Amino acid sequence: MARVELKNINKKYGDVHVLHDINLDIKEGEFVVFVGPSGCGKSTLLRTLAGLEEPSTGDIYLDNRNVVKEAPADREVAMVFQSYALYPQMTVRDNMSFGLRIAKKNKAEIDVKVEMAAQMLKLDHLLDRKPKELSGGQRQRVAIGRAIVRNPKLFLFDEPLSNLDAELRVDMRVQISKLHDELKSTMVYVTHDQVEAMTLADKIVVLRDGKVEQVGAPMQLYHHPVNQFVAGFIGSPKMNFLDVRVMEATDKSVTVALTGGDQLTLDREGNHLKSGDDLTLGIRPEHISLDGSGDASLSLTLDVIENLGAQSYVHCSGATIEKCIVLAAGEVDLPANSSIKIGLNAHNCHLFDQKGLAVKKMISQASVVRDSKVVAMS
Amino acid sequence: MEKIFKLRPHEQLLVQFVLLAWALTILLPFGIALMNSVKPNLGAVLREPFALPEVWQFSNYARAWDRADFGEYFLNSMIISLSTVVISVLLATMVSFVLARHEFRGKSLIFICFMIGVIIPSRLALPPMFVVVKELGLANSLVGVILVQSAVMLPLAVFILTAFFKGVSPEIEQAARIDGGSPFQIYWMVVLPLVKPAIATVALLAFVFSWNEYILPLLFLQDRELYPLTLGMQQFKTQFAVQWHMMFAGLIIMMAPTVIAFLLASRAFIEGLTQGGVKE
Ligand SMILES: Nc1ncnc2c1ncn2[C@@H]1O[C@H](COP(=O)(O)OP(=O)(O)OP(=O)(O)O)[C@@H](O)[C@H]1O
Ligand SMILES: [Mg+2]
Repeated sequence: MARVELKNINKKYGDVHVLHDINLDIKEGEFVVFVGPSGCGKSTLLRTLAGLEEPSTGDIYLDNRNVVKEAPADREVAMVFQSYALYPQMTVRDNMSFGLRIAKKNKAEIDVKVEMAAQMLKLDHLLDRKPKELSGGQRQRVAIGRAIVRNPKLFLFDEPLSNLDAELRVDMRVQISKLHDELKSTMVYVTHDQVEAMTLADKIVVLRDGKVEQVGAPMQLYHHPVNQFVAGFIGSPKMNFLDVRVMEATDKSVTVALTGGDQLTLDREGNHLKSGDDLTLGIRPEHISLDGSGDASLSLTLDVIENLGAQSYVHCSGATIEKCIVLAAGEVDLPANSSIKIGLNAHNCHLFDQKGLAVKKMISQASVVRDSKVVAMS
Repeated sequence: MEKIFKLRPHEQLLVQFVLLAWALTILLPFGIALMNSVKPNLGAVLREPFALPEVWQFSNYARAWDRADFGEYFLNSMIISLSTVVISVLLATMVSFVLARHEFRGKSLIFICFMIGVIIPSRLALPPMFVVVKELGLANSLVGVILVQSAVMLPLAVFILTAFFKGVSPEIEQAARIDGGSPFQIYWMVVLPLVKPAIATVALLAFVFSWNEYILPLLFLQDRELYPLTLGMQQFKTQFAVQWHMMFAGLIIMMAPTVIAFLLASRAFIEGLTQGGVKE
């Protein structure tokens, strides 16, 4: 277990600035997930933590010890790679014990540790096989086993499940979650799978272009994204964004007009806004009603319905919104190209200014405003 | 093995004809040497060099071995060739591992120097090599020949091995680094076993090259007891005529180790040539 602090980490490859001033505090035993679009620097940050890359500037503290100059092995971290990176010529047992053998631990101790890890990961019967005689899921478990036996202070995972099929991925996700409960180690996990991030993380770090966009618990990010990027990135299907215009703004509330004419009043600090400003309204697919009920409604054309049985994705579009997805419970049976009226509730809406920053909520009065039901005037 | 492309029947015929013709061209001299090596005397060779022997005199081999101090030359050849294999493989794998994986100033320059070594024939470097060996006091010694042959072999070995090391997934090496492996442990325990086919290829090339090398030992060795087989063969040139039947028997004996080496390494060798990297 270890506490990890990243201080002003910058990483440049020549002229390419990959990480910008990353500051991060990871508590003991915490499960932290890095998410972000491809190429945003997740792996680079993880590899910097591992010691495989040296940051251009900045410090890394493991339990208050600055390890930025230390070799990977001295940091007592273990890493699980996306490609598994098992040693092909060695058996599962030798793969798992490699680190301990190098550290000249005694044979009996090594055997005990390997057996324990193998049992935990249900690998006991595979110990004498070579990696190429294993399935993808088994290889991944060996890679995790290799990390466990070294009893590291910090586990690092770089998209460990992305090479597995969907079913196995769910399985391994649960196993990793259990593992974290059992070992209580600090873990850092890179993924771009929404569900992995939301289910595993104590804390999610959203990265974009090498910058931290937001850090927070999964539900905090879901309910209170600080900007349009995070709002769009967390949650699946993606949040819908509509162009709206400010009608009235005070320090307690902002009233905006949808393109259809309906108006919606939100409990935001609007003192820096003025009537006529263009804003973006965000609403999650699961918060839209298909019957037009809610504080405001909007007429759209239905494009496609994807029925999944338990739920359906209804894709619609309109004059001012290219694409709007509605998540409806159960099956939906509506003819294509029919016109539908969707409804939104003010308290589910997010508001972003032109820079993409969320318009701040009135924290103290949020509940008051919600209870008094500010109804749209239509 | 999977076929990369399919041939139509008549195309296949053509390809097989060409391959067969090629094989014959290679095997013919070999066959003639074999045939003539068991003829009883020089006369039989000269009269009908392409005819089957009337009497099969296998004792030629034993005589060639005995009479021409073959045992001694054979031993020298073995010492030179095996040492060259070990030295060039060891050095080339180390150099290639570093060149393939580690960034440092001047790396391209070093690589280019090795590539120049591949392109420029070693014969052009003979005079300076001769001076260096002499200055080091290694002239007329097996060590001198071994070092020179290893050096001549090195560029090609580095060229082949670097490509292979680049094919090994860097994540495997990084995993070993996280596991606490020192650079040497990673080289020796993790990466080297993964390039076995390439090592077999290089070892075979080095062996065949140094076993068959004539000019370098000729230049660097004076004492007869240090001669490898290639020089020892001269024994069959008597003052009157070349003892062709004995010469052929000697040649066949000389070829045996390289043929055996090829057979032993052929699988890995072909893998090495076709694979060009390491899976997984
Ligand atoms: N050795 C390198 N030299 C130059 N640029 C690099 C190097 N390694 C990574 N980069 C760049 O750094 C950026 C971040 O790469 P990184 O691998 O961390 O992305 P990532 O977030 O892990 O993406 P993915 O989700 O696709 O794995 C990319 O734009 C990449 O091109
Ligand atoms: Mg990555």
